[in-house]
Amino acid sequence: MRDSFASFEAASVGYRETMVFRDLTLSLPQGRITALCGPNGSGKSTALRALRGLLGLETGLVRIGDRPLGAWSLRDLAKQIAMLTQAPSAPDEISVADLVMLGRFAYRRAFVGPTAEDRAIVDRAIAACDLGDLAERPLGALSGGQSQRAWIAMVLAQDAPVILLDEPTNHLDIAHALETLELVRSLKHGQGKSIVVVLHDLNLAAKYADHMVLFREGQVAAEGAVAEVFTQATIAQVFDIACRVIEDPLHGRPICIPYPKGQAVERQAG
Amino acid sequence: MNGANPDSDGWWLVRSGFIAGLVVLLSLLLLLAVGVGSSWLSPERVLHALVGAGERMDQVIVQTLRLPRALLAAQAGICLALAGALLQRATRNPLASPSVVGVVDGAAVGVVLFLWLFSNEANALTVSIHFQPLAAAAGAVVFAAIVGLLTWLDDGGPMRLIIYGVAIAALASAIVTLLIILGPVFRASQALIWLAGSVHQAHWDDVVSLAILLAMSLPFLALVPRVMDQFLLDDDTAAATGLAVGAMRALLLLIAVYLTASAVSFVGGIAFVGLIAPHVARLILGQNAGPYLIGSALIGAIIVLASDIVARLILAPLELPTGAVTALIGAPYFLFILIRRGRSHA
Repeated sequence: MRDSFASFEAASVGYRETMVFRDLTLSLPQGRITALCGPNGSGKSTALRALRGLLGLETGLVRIGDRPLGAWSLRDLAKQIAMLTQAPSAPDEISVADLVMLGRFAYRRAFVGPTAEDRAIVDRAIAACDLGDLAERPLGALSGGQSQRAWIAMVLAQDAPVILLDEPTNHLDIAHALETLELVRSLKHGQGKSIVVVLHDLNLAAKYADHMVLFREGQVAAEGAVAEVFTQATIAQVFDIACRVIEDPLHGRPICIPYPKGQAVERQAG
Repeated sequence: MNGANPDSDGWWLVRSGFIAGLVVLLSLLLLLAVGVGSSWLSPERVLHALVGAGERMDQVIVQTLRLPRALLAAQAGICLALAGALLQRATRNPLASPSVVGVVDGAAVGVVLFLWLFSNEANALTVSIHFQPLAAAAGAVVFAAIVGLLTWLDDGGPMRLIIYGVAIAALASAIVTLLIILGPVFRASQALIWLAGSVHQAHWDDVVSLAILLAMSLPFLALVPRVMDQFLLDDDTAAATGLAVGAMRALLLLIAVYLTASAVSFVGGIAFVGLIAPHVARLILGQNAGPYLIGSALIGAIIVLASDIVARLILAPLELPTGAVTALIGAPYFLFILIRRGRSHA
């Protein structure tokens, strides 16, 4: 396996009384798109939040690079890992350019305006997300897909080698979901980013991810290259459904067709 | 922000123009506030009296009566408006204001207790009235601390803070009512004037004290705009950009409590300024924290000063408490905001 940029070592996280995951041990590969998938409440989003340090661990350790999470200063960590949260929000009136500049927080000093470098990186992020014409537009005037691209531009402006995305295609129609994930893939290819993305849609995950982690009830049920993990038996067991996994005729990626639990998935002969 | 993009230079110019306009308006109101009253002084006579020229009588009216009152009103407006701006941004709630976090009602408890405990049989205070601001500040700090402690124990977010603030403010206001009913009648009317908020007893001592308190907050206010901009984002997103969300929110709230306590200690519970001034500032100057703070401060000063002029004139020779006028203007505006928000969220 490739080098990893981060790992969980016997990490446990709980909200108040209930534990969301226990003794999670997991390494995340560098320079790849890793998809975290699993049923609702299986711990995938919580793992992502813990990885970014938005949640404290009950026990265990998250290691980023060669240091435990707690040894990073907030600013250094922000320069290392950027994150698009599940439901990001900002006032409708602020412009795309102003929003993207907020991604530069960890680099900026008190009392001085943005440096030439800040501006250049913001412009690059806006261009990478194809928002050049919309930079002065207020957020409230953007469509769902445009606004998702504006948020990704803000995350890019953070100029971190690692990007975490928590369900970036939620609330997007299929065209905008594909557009968003194409953009994510271009970040890996163009900028060599390591990307971890929580995705609900298994087929989108299989299409775009290199590496896949399947969560079930706070445990890692399966982990590895998409081709290894994305099998009929594993998906059926993790999601508690019946399914067929076939091949995308165009790219050879696996596709899952789900059926209700208990249904026979082979066509009956005769 | 701060002109994040080259195209926003025009907008920067417009904002500077708005701020300059507010400064001019405030200066004119100061002249007017010193000019109007039982005897009218023209701006020319006011200016003469200010520099120590002009008639002896004009100098007395301007320098010992009207100027301290106008300055106290303006300063109180600045403090309350800044506190409101900090609160609204730190809680990400445009309806947050100094009166909802328990500070104003807490100060009222301090004042009413003070008037009750230190009155003698002959209706006189047994200690100097100059201790009243201290009593108000003590009450403000105690009740703000209770709200802060409850929120902290609850591990709650800004919404919890506001809910606890409303509950504790209601409790404080109940205590005030009880004390007024139980206490001596002649003190009740004095307490009521304070509760409504008034600058009619302004002395230079008050002006200087409040100016010093305000000046001490300036270094902190100069440091917070970058952080306040980050609070435009939801908590998780702000944290992911590197902001220490909890600590910075606590800092903004502390400054807000400090400014509110400073103002209400001297002028009482002048209502709605802390709610409306930041709101108007946001409408005309945008969300960028630097202009937003400066604009809030200027608009707060303008609102209280203008309200005090109205309070002195509208029923002359009777005077209304300044806070009654701000409430008369502020409450309908507040309703307007609520209705418009209700529609836009429907």
